[in-house]
Amino acid sequence: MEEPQIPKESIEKVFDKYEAQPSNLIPLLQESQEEFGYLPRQVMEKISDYLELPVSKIYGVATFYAQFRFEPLGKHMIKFCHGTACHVKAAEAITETIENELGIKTGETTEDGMFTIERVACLGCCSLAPVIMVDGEVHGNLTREKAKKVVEQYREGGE
Amino acid sequence: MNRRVLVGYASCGIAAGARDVYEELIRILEERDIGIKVDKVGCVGMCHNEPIIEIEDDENKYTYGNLEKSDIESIVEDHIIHGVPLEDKLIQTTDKEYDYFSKQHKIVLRNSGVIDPEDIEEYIERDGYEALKKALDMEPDEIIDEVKDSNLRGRGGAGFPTGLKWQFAKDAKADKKYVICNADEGDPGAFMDRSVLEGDPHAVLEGMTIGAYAIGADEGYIYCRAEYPLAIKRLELGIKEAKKKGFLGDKILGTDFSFDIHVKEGAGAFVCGEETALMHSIEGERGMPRPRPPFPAQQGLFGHPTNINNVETWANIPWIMRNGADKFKDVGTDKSGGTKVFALAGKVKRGGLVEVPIGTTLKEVIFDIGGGIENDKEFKAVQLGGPSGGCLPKKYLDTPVDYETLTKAGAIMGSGGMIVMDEDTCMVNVANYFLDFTQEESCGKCTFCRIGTKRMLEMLISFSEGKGTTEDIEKLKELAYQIKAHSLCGLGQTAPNPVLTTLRYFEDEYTAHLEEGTCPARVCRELITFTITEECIGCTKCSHECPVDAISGKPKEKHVIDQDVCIKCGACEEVCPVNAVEVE
Amino acid sequence: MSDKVTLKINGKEYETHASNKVLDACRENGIFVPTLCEIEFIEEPFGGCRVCLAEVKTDRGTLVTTTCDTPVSEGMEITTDTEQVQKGRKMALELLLSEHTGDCIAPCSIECPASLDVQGYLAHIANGRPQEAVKLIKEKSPLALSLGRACFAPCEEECRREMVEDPIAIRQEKMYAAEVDIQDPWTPENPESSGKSVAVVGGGPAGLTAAYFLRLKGHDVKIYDMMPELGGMMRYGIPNYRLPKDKLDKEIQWILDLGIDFETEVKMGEDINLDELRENYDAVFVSTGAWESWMVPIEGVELPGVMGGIEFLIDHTLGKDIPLGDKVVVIGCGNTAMDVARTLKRIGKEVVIAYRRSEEQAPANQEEIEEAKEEGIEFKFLASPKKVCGCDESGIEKVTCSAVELGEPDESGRPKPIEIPDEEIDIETDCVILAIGQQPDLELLEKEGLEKDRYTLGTNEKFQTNLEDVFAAGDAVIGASSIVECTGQGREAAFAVDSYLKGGLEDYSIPEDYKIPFGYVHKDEVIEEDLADWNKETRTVMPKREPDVRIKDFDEIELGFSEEAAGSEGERCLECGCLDRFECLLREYADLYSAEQHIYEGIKFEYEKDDSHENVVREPNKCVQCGSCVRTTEEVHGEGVVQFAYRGFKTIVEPAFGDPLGEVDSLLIGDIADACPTGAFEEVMNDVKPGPHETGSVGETYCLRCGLTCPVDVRTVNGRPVMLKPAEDEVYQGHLCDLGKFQRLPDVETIDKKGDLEEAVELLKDGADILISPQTTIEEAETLKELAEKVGGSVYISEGSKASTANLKDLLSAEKIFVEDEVYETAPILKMFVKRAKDEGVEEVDSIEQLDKGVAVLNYDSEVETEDMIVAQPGANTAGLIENNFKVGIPDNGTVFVYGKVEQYPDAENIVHLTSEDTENIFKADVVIPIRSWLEKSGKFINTFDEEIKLTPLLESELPENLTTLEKLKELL
Repeated sequence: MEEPQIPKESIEKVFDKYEAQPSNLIPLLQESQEEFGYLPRQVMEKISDYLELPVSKIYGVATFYAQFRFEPLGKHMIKFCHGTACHVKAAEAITETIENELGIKTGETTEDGMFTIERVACLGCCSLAPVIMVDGEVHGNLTREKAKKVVEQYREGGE
Repeated sequence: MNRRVLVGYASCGIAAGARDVYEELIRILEERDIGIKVDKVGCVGMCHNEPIIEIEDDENKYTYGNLEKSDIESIVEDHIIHGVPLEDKLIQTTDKEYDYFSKQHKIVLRNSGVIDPEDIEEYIERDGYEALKKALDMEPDEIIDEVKDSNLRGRGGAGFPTGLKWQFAKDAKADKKYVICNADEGDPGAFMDRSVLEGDPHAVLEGMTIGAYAIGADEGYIYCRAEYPLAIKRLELGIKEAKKKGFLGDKILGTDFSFDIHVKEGAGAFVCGEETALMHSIEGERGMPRPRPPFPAQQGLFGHPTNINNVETWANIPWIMRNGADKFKDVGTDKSGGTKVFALAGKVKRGGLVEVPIGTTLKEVIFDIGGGIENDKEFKAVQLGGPSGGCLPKKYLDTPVDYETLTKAGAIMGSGGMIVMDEDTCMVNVANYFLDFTQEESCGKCTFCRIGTKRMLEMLISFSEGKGTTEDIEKLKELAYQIKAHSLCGLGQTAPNPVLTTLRYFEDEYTAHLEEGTCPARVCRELITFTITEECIGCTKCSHECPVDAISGKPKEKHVIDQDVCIKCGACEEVCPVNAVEVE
Repeated sequence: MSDKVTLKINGKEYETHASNKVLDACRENGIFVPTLCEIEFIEEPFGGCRVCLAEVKTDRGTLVTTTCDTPVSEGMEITTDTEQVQKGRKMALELLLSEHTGDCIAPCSIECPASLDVQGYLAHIANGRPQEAVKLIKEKSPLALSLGRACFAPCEEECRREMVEDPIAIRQEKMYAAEVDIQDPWTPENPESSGKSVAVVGGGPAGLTAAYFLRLKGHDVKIYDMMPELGGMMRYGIPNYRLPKDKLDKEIQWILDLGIDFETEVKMGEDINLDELRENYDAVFVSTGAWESWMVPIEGVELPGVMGGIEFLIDHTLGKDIPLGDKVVVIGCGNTAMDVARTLKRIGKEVVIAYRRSEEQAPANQEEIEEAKEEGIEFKFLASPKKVCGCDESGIEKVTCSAVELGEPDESGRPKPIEIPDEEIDIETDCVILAIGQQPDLELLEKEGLEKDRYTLGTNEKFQTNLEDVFAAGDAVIGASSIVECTGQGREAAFAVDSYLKGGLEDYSIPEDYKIPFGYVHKDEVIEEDLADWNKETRTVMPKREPDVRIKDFDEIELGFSEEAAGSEGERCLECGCLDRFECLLREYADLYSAEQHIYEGIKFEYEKDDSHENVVREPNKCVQCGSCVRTTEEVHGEGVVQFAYRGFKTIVEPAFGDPLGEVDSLLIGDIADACPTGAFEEVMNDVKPGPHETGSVGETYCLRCGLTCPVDVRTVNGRPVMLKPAEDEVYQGHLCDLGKFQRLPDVETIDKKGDLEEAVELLKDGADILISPQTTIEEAETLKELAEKVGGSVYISEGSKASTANLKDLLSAEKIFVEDEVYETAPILKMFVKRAKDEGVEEVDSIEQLDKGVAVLNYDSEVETEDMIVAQPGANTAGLIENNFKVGIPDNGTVFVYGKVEQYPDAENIVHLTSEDTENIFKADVVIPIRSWLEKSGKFINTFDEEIKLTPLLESELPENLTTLEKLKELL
């Protein structure tokens, strides 16, 4: 996929907050992802220049951590919790329901760019299992029916 | 009369709707112009009752739970204005303690749900930073002796004596040393650390500062999961406030001791709970563990001696310093002092955060505190220690929860995840689940973990499909033992535990899958079929719900599932109003 | 505290440095512990492969653990070979193998009964070196020429190229190469006599092969054969038109010329007894073959007009008069049947072949069947001969066959022929020849005291018969087979005999090279899609004589490949076998611990091979994630060519963003290939086809590519330099840059020589300037200076500048350093030293101004000058030449005499170039004279650090010493 050109200034804006030292690599990646929604190649190359580290290093670190993404995200991010409590309380069924509802698989983004869904290890809300997190908001004690409603709510909300 | 309202405002509370409740409360109070203090507090511990508010006056405390936005109006009206508690939403009062708490003992969680974590004054009011003051008057060795004496052991999992660990770091000769708080709570099914950080951040900060003083460190890091934004926010605020008050930063409380703490956000890697991986991550590297020795106490972060403890361990320190090692030792067992916080969840009636003296039995935790099994089903197993731990069967219910006993039984104390499983839980599936998790989280460095866990998982998957022979079980065991023996770090060395314990206690379930081709708990999809019985009333709900259109039938007539199409997702069973879907 | 500790390894006490790891302690005492991820000069252990296990006992307990990261301690007891240790190592290797994808050895070689290195010899042929191909074949069999003509080529059946279009014409390629070779055959060194003697009974392919290898092991060999001439079935069973006797004679003579004695027309059991042989020789090798046809028990088989196929062929070869009539029916459809039928055709008979199955199931080569059809031989398939009917005493009338239809597959996997009741086919004939199989003459062998095993001679797996000193192999043991099977058997049996003669068979196991090792990884399911990237290239068709012409005589049918055809056919090879075949540690260890590929089955990733880099191929499917490459590129020079990406089972080592290796901007990529213990990163030999070929080292020298003169180890194949490896060295620690590593290795033969010294003199005598390469030795330069005086010109070096004033030690102990970027283009390995300095705490500054005190690392053309500087020079002797006051510049007037390889070529009227390399510019020269290369010459250099380096020749050269050439030129002037 052809990446859109990212203005130099917006990259530099991110860099301004951090000193050019290797231990700031992960915060820089996090901040960049916050800014651009994902980690565009050009940004990683710029980080490599800024920190004077080989770009392979930036790439190696970025791909190690589950947090980082290399494709633009949908407008809404749905994270399915697959913690142990959620698992024993049929989180799989919730995942399936939402996958069917959106017509995509975990890790994918809907064609209209509205939703990206992914699996996470645990959201730490085990007592409310099964849970999902949409745009940072946790929805707990889900059933298939409730899960559908949550998705519907965001779809209608548009934003 | 001094009155205030406390709103449980930890992540779980918010997830359950605490924000709505809080906003509604504020709206009504403002609307009616009632001047009463409202505090957002951390986790009260009764997650099963969220959202929760508590109304406190000089003598009494009333706890309301399972609230809806619509309940607030009456609470304000009846309780706050007219002083009449609203009986049907009341969980406990000062006179009538909720039995959920009767067997608990709060050291780590003593402030959680009680104080406003964003207000340092409230912490100070409850003797906060007294321990630091006391410690700064002591010699480092005295502090370490006190910690040693308390029998405090690492609450992160392995249970290494904390005082001894400090001693190693103190003995290392270096100009620069670090302390680290491991708050990368990666164990799926555990949220103790999150609750402590969200509910009582200063306890951790104070503990770290004491530790830093004792070993001679001047810089500290808190490595916290990025998934805990609220915890991070509160820690950062806490650091700022503590600095303002002189509890942190240069020349703490007028002494020569300076200490600063940084918060580092993790980026999503379970393996970063391992000390050396965690340090690599702070350094900006891939979170790959390295061989030990050298241990962090000799050569840690950026090559300097480093002491790492987890959140709960640090949070114990101020209490120990304030109340003395002896008092701490009074709680717990001979070998380990104090309490342990558990995140009780799964098929249990009352899930939440539970703090009990070490040595409390599993039965007390699950049945007395947790209220037993959901829907009164049969208890099958309890999983302790997450992906590194194991599943213990019914016969171990009387086991006291302590490091040695649990390890002997094949599980581990771990960081405190406690998942209860009932008769509907398939143990092959559970083993499968944990291994799926660990092999995803393996850093990929060493052969046994990277490939071995993958191959184990593949074997388990084929077991859950009824493929394989009992000889394959032996092969699986052998592989598991070798992975335990030869993996580079703790992740690999413990990854086979859930498999080995389920094999040890539930081998019959494995053989049922392999020899009879059945899944006794009716979970493994390849081995079950869904059929519609004569009970069917033809309501068509199931055929609408079916994601693959496998169900056909005319309205008001009995429906049929096409077995070739059915993906066994169970949706039909869930929606059927007359329980006409049978699983075999 | 003492810095030494005493510990016990395998029960023996050793002293070692206290800072060592257990693995170090084992290694320094020569105790083997396998490891894939340990790198000698990187201190911190990686701990990834988990293969280096050993049992370690301390006062805290005993456990099996990795040795690379376990520190030694006083009184420690280490055992490196307990059962638990072996088990752990084996499992680690099996796990690694379970995700390893590829073929250690190409399927063609695996299939070859004689284990010929097919991929290797095809590569030699493709590279235009047929004789090297034959040399490779001769390591496994002396019968290249015969195999090239008459092998049934099972290799071709396995050739994966078939999934692209057609298999490689492997046999025909061999035929071409052998034909080239036989003109002046390559012959191995003939060893001195061991004093032991062996009698070989039977001079066919097994006997000749055994004799050859026994002779090469030093034993005195004599072949006894019952026939008038040697060759066995190659002579008497295979007609001349397939394997001409004059060719066979040449091949046999070449074998005998090694000093093998022989006697013909001596039949064991008649002319000589086994007991006699046993008395007179230290061992006897029986390879008497299978010379009797099977006669099926059908009615009329005893009639006089019925004979065996092999008997017919033998009699025909011997020139005997065979009464046949005009029409002949041949029964059977194997290769012998074809040989019989086609021979009959050539003596003017009408031939019908009757076979009870269909054409698809016929055991004969399809090509042979085709040729037979072309020659007008009639085939009756699905006709099962029932009876031979004679008309009167004088002959035969017809053969009656049952018609057959095909049923379910039988034991052999072929559809079972089922006779159709009451349906018969009559074939009129004068004679019937049965060619359905052969067997050894067991009666005779038994009479000599040898025991049989059902239908053949019995031996154990070490080729030993019931008599201790009598060995046997070939058709006599395995039944009628093929040349290639017999030659393979003959070789392996020869090694068994050799072991026996040298002290005992206990030591005998099939030599590693000749067996398929345990760790052998085979790509299981290759489908057409996997090979979709290969262009379709039609198989080269062997030119043949036309059928109507060839049936008139017994001359050879095939006309042979041209050099060009052989080359392009060889190029079609898909190179299935691993390039790291000869050096892969995983394979070596897997074999050692009997680790198997398929114990743990599961998913494997199938990544595409990345051949975007000119010199290094990346095959992620063969990566064991040992991290050696990552650590080399990150920690040794900080280059960061590749990194680990992702995690868990998905972890892969790749360049950033998964880019192709060829797109990585770096001159330190070869180092990765050297670090890799498997074929995941592999250096490719600079040839049309990379082989792989086993290399040998001819010794160490210095790389002359830049002023650093890194020590290199020169690897050769058949004496040709093919590869440079970093030499073991404390300073360079086994690293080499790509400029050095992948420089074109000298090959005088490729130089397009123009003119001679006289012609050079003609151009030079009226005056010329001289431009010399910075790789010119001090001695050469001195002579050239004298030469310049003679012709009234000056000597120039093409590039250069000031000399260094600092050395590596200064760099590593400097306070600050400044490095110009261009330095790494001239001398990339400097990056390693700069990194080393920085790791020591030396600060690198961004500009020369910031360098108040310290070392500047400058490029040769830098305008900057400082007190302490290291100058990257473009050639080994740049510094030395500058010290000797040679000018820098490019002369471009009149005539220029160019000496050696120069980057910039002069733009002069006349150019005389003395060179050891075929550079892109030499076509501009008027006279080109080859001289000795840096690997063949001697002389002195002064390198960048002002050290004197002495070059000694590693390779022999037919050319005179360069100084001699220059002196001669001087004289002529």
